[in-house]
Amino acid sequence: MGTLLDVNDLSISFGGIKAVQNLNFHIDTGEVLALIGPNGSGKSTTVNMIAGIYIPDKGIIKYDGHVIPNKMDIANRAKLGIARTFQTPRPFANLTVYDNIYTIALLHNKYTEAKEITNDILKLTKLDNLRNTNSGKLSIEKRKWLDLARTMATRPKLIMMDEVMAGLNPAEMEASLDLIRAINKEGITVLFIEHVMKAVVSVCTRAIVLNQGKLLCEGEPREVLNNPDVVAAYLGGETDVAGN
Amino acid sequence: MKKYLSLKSMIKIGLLVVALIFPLFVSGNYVISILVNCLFFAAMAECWNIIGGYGGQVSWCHASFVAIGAYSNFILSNDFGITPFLSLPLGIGISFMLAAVIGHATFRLHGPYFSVATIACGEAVRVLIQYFDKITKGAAGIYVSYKGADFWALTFENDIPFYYLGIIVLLLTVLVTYLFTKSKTGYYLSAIKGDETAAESLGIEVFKVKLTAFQLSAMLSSVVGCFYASFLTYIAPTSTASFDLSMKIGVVAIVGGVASLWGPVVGGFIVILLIEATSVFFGAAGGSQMIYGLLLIVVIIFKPEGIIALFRKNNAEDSKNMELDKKEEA
Ligand SMILES: Nc1ncnc2c1ncn2[C@@H]1O[C@H](COP(=O)(O)OP(=O)(O)OP(=O)(O)O)[C@@H](O)[C@H]1O
Ligand SMILES: [Mg+2]
Repeated sequence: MGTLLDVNDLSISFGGIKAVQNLNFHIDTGEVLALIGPNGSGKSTTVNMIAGIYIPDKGIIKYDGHVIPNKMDIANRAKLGIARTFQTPRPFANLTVYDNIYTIALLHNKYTEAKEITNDILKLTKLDNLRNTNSGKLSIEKRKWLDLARTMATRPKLIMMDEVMAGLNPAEMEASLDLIRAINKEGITVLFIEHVMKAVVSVCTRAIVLNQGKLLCEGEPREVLNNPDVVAAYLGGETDVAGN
Repeated sequence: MKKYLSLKSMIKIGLLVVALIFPLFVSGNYVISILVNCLFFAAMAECWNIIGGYGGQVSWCHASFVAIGAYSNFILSNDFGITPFLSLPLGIGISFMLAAVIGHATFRLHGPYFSVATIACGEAVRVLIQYFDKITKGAAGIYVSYKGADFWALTFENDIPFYYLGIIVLLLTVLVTYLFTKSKTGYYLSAIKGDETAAESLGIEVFKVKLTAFQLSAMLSSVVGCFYASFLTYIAPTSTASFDLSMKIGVVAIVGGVASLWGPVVGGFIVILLIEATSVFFGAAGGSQMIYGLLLIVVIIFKPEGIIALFRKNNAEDSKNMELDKKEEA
């Protein structure tokens, strides 16, 4: 399998804050790569640079064998198959759950096909019983699921999931992990940002760790979590690195 | 269930029938002329609704497009003897292009910044109409030349024909708006209203969608403007292309209910009738401004979804009842 995304020497700062510094990593086609690190370490910022919301100060993003120019706009990146959820979810609050997904499905399909695809996605993400609910009225967890459900209507090759599991109870978490495996099985590559390490270990094939905007280490998830540098980086944080 | 019309559509058909036979029961032109105003303002507000309501892009320059339709009509019919019906393509074409220009200038801006920019654009159009006085007769305005009742010239002895024309034009704007909301672009526009950043990052081309909707809204406005001008018989930059008219159009839509198919229709009747009623009490000048202000404040505080929302409660109950019916059938 080839490399889907290759990030080279990526840097960005906001005023004096060096949010991401000289970051190098890649994602293989078909893998579930964990992107972890303490609060403020630059995970969401990295996603935002790949998605085109932030323009990096420096560095190259290569996707599917091509360099993505800085000036390529957000929508065009999405059309290439780069999808993402938002850490603070962003539903189309004026639309129902169904229409949130249907609208995006229309981008790539005829009306009747979009309908079918929307129904499939609703079933897969277990949002079916909420289909006519106004998405602005959903709980935060459900909004995150809706964010994820919508990305699935974009015909993505890569989905970057920014803490989609936050706030779930253990049973819901189990179901969610199954969903992510199912998404991955369809050939979609996943970048998985998560603070719950149990989830990371259970679903990811590889992990990279950010700390203060820099790459701290990378490798097999269990190894990475036992790395003393990683433990030290997380110390003081509320996150349970060992995953108990 | 399907064989029968729903209560909602029965009410609508009933209202339409009442509207159609209404002129038989009134004598004199006064009441009819007020109702024609209601119909045309409802139609203009429905056009506004496409971009301002469904798109959430609150524009204050729609008088420009109304004026383009109006001036196309009067200039072609007065100077060249061409029927207003054939002036429609001209008005539509110019509005399409003007909307492209205004859209390029303003759609990078958001919220109130966008709105203020559209005010500037609308004023620029008014000044331009005034400036090219060889064609437009400048600030003096244009009267339609009345050569007796003539359908193709849209000149009539009383306002009853305009009443029916108003109904047709209004239904046309409602139909176009309805079809638009069911189109792909309509869905994308609603998504953009909901969250522009999310829409963009899912692959919706925000600028293109906004511009298309704006152009549709502008072209349709010029159609309404064309017929409205024939009813008015006199147009001038300070009335037909004014900020005051732009504001009135937006207020009608907002008071009636934005992003709702029938909201602007309700708004047209309520706002225009209120303005008419108050002008009887307070005299014409200044009264209307006060009404806009008061209505906006009241509606935004108590019913931000617009007056149409007062009717919606019943609909919700309707559909509940229908669900019960279904269960009983099962
Ligand atoms: N738009 C912005 N303007 C200023 N500073 C920003 C901006 N976006 C991010 N930052 C800063 O960049 C740093 C990295 O933030 P980022 O959101 O990427 O962290 P994170 O790893 O996603 O953290 P968390 O786990 O809390 O979500 C933080 O110091 C943050 O304050
Ligand atoms: Mg984050």
